[in-house]
Amino acid sequence: MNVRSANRPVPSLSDLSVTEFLTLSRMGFLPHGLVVGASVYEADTRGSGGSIDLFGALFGGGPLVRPAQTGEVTALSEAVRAARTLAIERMRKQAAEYGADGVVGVRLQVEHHLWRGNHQVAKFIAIGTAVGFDHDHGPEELRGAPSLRLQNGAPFTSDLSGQDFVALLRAGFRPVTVASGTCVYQLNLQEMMRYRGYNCEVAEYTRAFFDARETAMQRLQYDLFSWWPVGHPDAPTGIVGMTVTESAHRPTMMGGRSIGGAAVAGSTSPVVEFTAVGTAIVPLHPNDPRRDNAPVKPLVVVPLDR
Amino acid sequence: MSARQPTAAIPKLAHDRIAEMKEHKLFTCDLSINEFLLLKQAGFDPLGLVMGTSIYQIVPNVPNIPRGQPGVEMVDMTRALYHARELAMNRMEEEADELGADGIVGVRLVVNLDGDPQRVAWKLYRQWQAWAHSVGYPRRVTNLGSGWFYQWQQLAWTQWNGWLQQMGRAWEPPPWSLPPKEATYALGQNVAEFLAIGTAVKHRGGESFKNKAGKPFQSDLSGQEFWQLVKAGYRPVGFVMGNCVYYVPPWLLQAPGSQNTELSAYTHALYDARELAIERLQHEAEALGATGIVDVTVSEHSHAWRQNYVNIGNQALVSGEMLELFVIGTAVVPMPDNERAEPPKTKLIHAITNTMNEATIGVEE
Repeated sequence: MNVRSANRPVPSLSDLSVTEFLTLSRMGFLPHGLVVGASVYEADTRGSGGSIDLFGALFGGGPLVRPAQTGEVTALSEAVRAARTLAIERMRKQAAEYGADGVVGVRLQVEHHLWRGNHQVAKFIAIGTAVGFDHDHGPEELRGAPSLRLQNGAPFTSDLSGQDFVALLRAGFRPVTVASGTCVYQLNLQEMMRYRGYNCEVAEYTRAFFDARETAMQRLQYDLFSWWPVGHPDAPTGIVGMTVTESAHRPTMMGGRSIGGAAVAGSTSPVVEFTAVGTAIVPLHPNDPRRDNAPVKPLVVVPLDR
Repeated sequence: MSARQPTAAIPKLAHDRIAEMKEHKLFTCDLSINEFLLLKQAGFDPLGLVMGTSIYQIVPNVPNIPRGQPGVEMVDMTRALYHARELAMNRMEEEADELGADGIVGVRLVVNLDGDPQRVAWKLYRQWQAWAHSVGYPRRVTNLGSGWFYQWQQLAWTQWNGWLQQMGRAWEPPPWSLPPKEATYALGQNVAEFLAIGTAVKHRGGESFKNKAGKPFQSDLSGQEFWQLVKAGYRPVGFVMGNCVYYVPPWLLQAPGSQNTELSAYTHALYDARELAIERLQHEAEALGATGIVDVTVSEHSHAWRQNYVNIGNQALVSGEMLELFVIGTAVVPMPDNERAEPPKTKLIHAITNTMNEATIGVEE
């Protein structure tokens, strides 16, 4: 990989908008390049004893769908977590090679592919812009500021935009990492049978969805706590911009090639992935020159288009 | 339907997560940076992302009313839909209470209808149709009419296999069976997920912002709007809602003649439904001792109650229209020092793009 020297400025790739670029450069940060980390995973659980039957059975070849119990699919949760962490870690490594202080605007993408030979493949991509403080051209008063890198010298990662990143620094916080937690759940549709014709809560599913989301959020925290125990200078005090999204891991209506009447709704078990993503932050040192001790001055704006 | 009932507890995992957050003094929030900073400036600290969910089966029972009669409210369904949302909101409230929060801001109440198999199948059906047309199958073959749900897969796979053979290609799965980008999973007909998510906050000065019931307030205001409200001397006391499910029989949906005329009975039915919903909203706000309700939205849903996705307009003329009027808003009271509060100065700017909406209050550099 092409390792660039730390001498700035030289032209480098970034996916920053003009506003982001200008806001960052006013704080002395310049882009060091677009950084990408990827990890391709094949989620095949056919060899796991047949109790979980996911992708194999779907597109032919595997055993027939057996009604699965509602519950977590641990193998998939693990796989997704490992893949996502790897992607972020690779992106971080590339940023470190560029000599950057950190990565802003990280986007986590997942692409599902079906490769020839019935291989169900998921591609996890983390993409962002590496930025670093420019000692030669940055503002005079900020030159003495400590680096934003983590204690072990690794660059930070964050899914904040350039403006958000600067606003956060001014308010006295710095980003540490993009944190994510995953939980993959499988639902047994047979449980619906006893609810025929009532207006009522479907307790099993509610419990499943509730548990799955809570687990995803808890894992996000758990990873942070284990990487940076209490007292560590990088131990996050908060997570901003946290979202919990869900995506289905398999189309429900297609039961494979034997498509007669068998694939009518209710015969397959949906597999749903819940993912929590956010940016972990820690407070800056009280004397950090980047901290703007004046209180935030909001500007109330009434847009005329609504 | 005025007072919310105590409901089933949140799962053990939620207690664990909250305990861990407290132990490690970690907060989580789904606020953007601007919202986060404004919230801090208004004197509040975020404590944690809280949520509650309820997956609910709602079965439409079309009432059998004699011809010529006006529409009726479907009390059972009104109650069911209210109860589903209430369950979700109460669970969220419980999580916030456990965190020791004064309130919840930025609450989003989402109804996730993707659990309906017909809705999921309809997307695939349309995808198959698009493919069939692109390779030259005529529309009269691919348009299956009202029986589409039971017939389309058979035909689709016959066409796909035939086409593969004709093109001399090895077997591969058709495009509509590939894993979709967005979530699709069928839970069962008439099953929907009601989800409430928000950020629990606490006043830094220790001032209690809990409402009359001793519970954390809820509001759907964003961080910016919350800041604005607090600066202007008001505080939210709760999220209030009212709903009404109304059945409009088919004969009210047709004009008597062919001239331009108002469907007055239909109009009247809609009015009734809306007024009932708003009245219930007001009752809730009064119960909280609110002096006003801000950010009220009135929405009309027909959810997924239609029997079939084909010919939606004509179908209503046969089986009637079933709709829900749903009203939601944030109840507010003036704070004791309201007189001294200085409302934030407002600047009018011309917003060029829609993206400006996100930054209604920008943080001044």
